[in-house]
Amino acid sequence: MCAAFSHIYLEQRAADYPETKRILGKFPESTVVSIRHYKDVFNRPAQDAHLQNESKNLILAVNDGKKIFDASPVCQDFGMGKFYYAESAMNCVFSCDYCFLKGMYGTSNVVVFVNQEDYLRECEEKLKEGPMYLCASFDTDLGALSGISSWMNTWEEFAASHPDLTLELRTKSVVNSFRIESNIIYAFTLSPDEVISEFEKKTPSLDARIASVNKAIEEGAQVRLCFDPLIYLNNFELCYNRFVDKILQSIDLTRVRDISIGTFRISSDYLPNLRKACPDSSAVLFPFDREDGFCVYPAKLRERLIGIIKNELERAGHGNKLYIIP
Amino acid sequence: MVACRAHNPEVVWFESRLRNQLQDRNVSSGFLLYNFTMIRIFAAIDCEVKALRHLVSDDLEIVLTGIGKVNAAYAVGRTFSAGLTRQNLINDVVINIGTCGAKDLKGLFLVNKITDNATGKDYYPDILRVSGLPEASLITVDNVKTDPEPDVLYDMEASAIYQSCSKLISPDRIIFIKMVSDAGDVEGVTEESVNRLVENYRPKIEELINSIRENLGTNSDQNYDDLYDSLKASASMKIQIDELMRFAESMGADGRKLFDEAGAGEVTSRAEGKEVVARVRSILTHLS
Repeated sequence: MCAAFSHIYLEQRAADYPETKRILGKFPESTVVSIRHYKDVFNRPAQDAHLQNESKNLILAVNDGKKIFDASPVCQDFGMGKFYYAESAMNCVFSCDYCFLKGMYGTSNVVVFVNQEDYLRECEEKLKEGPMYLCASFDTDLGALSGISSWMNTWEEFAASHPDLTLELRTKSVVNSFRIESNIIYAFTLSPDEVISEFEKKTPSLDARIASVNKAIEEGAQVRLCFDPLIYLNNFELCYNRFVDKILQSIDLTRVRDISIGTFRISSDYLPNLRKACPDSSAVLFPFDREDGFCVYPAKLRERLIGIIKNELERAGHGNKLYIIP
Repeated sequence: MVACRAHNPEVVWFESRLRNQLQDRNVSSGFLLYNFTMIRIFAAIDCEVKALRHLVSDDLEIVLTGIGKVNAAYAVGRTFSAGLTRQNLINDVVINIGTCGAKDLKGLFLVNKITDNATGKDYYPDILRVSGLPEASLITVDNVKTDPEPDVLYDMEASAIYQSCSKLISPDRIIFIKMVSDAGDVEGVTEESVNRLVENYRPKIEELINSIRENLGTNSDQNYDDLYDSLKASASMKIQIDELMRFAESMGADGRKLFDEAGAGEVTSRAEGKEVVARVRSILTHLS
C-alpha cells in the first residue's frame, strides 16, 4: 500500500539518510516542508486528527531518543519473557476507529524514523543481555508502510542474522513476501467484514488478509493469527460466529503457530482523544467500564465475545494454540 | 510588506450584525453562546482587506490588528476574549490576509511554515484543504526586511497570530494568505498600490474563502436538560447520560425512546434515576 501525502515534513538532519532519499523519490508530487524537529509538527496542540485523517501527512525524522521500549502489560507476551517493542514509526496509514494510536498521539500524521542503523545498534545492545522478543510493528503497521518505508525488510534482515531475537511483525495489510525464519513471526489481525467496513477504514478486506495468511503458510513462514480486538456490534454474536466459521473453513489452523484473542481495551487517558478523532464511531463511544486505568467492555460482554471465538476453535481442536487476554 | 504609515492604535472590527446581537444578548452572563462557525479575517491595515470588506456577513468578520506582532497578538486576544470558550470556537476559522516582502517570489501564497525571526521558533499551519494556491514558507520579522533571502516570504504579524490562535483553534483552521508587495524596498508601497494588489487577487481569495465556508462544520448543540431533570441527575449521571445518548446514536438507536421505555418519565428520586440509566446501559450493551 502506498498512500499519497500532500505534504512531507522533513527534519533537516534526516535529509541525507538513504531511507529519506528512497521515500522522497516515491512522492515527487508532495510538497516538502523543511522542519527542525518532528515534534514541532507531530506534537502541535489542538490538532484536528479527524480532519487530518482524510489527508494524512508524512514526517521523516531522526529518533535520537530511546528506540526500543518495554512492552505494555496489556499486550500478550506469548510466554516469551523479555518483551519489547520498537518505535520504528509513529502512527499508521490505516485508519481504524478504535486504534490506540489515535488516542495516544492526537494527530493522524505519520512519522517514519529514518536512522535505522541506530535502532539495530540499540537492539544488539539489548540482545547482549539475552534472548528477546521484539514487536517491531507496534506504534504503526509496518506492513501498511511497506510501500513507503523499508523498515519491514530491515527488521527481517536483522532478525535473520540474530537468532536470539524473536521478531513479531503485526499487520492488517496484505504481505506479499515472507522471510522464512523460525524467529520471524508474521502476525495477522483478522476481523469480520462488518468490523472492517465499519471500523477498519483503508484496510484490506478479510478475504485479502486470509489470502495473505495462506500464502505465508504455504511458503513456510511462522504465522500468528490475532482475533484482537474483538469489537462490540449490534449483531456481534451472528457476525463473529460467521467469522470464525469462515476462518475454520479457509485457513489450515494446524499450520498456524498460535492464535491470540482479546477484546477491545484502551488506556482511560487515550479515550478522550480517540472519541475526538472518531466522534461518530460506536467502537469508541461504547459506555466502557473503567478497570485499573483501562476502559474495557463489561466482564459479561468480554466473556461472550471471547467465548464465541474460543469455543469454536476449541471444538475444532485448536485450544492448545490459544492465548487469551481476558 | 507595508511600511508603518497607518498604525491602528485600536483594534478595529468589521463584524457581523448577528455576532453583535448575540454578544449583546449574552453580555450579562459573560458568555457568548452560539453554535455556528465564524470566519475571522485578521489583517494589519485597512488597505489589505478593503477590497474584501463586502464579504463581511453573519459568519464572517474582519479584524484590523495594526502592524507588528504585539498589535496582532493583542487583536487576537481581544477578539477571542469576549467570554468565548474553547467549545464555542472549536469550528472557527482564522485567516490572516496581508502583504509581504520577498526577494524572488511573486504572487499570492498559502503559507505552510512560519518562522519567528526573533525567537527562531517555527510554526506549521496544517494545510488539509486543497486550495490550488502555491505554498511558501514565511519569516515574521520585527522590522521591514530590506535584504530578504531567496525563496521565503517576510511579514510582521503571522507568527504572533499563529501562536495566539493555536491556543484555541486547530492548526488546519489557521490560514495565512500572503501577497508579495515588494522586495524589501517598501518606499514604493502605498495604500493605492496595495489596494490594486488585493483587487488583483480578490477572485482567488474569495474562491478560497468560499471553499472554506462550504466545508465549515457547526458546533454540537446536543441538549439533554429535560432528560437530566426527569432523571434527577447528578453531575456524574449527566456524563453517563451524555455517553449513552451518543452511543445510542452511533448504533442507530433512538436514545430518548430507550430512556422513556426504561421509565425515565416515572422517576421520583435520584436513586430511581440511576436505575433507569443502568437499565438503558444494559439494553444498549446487550447485557439485559
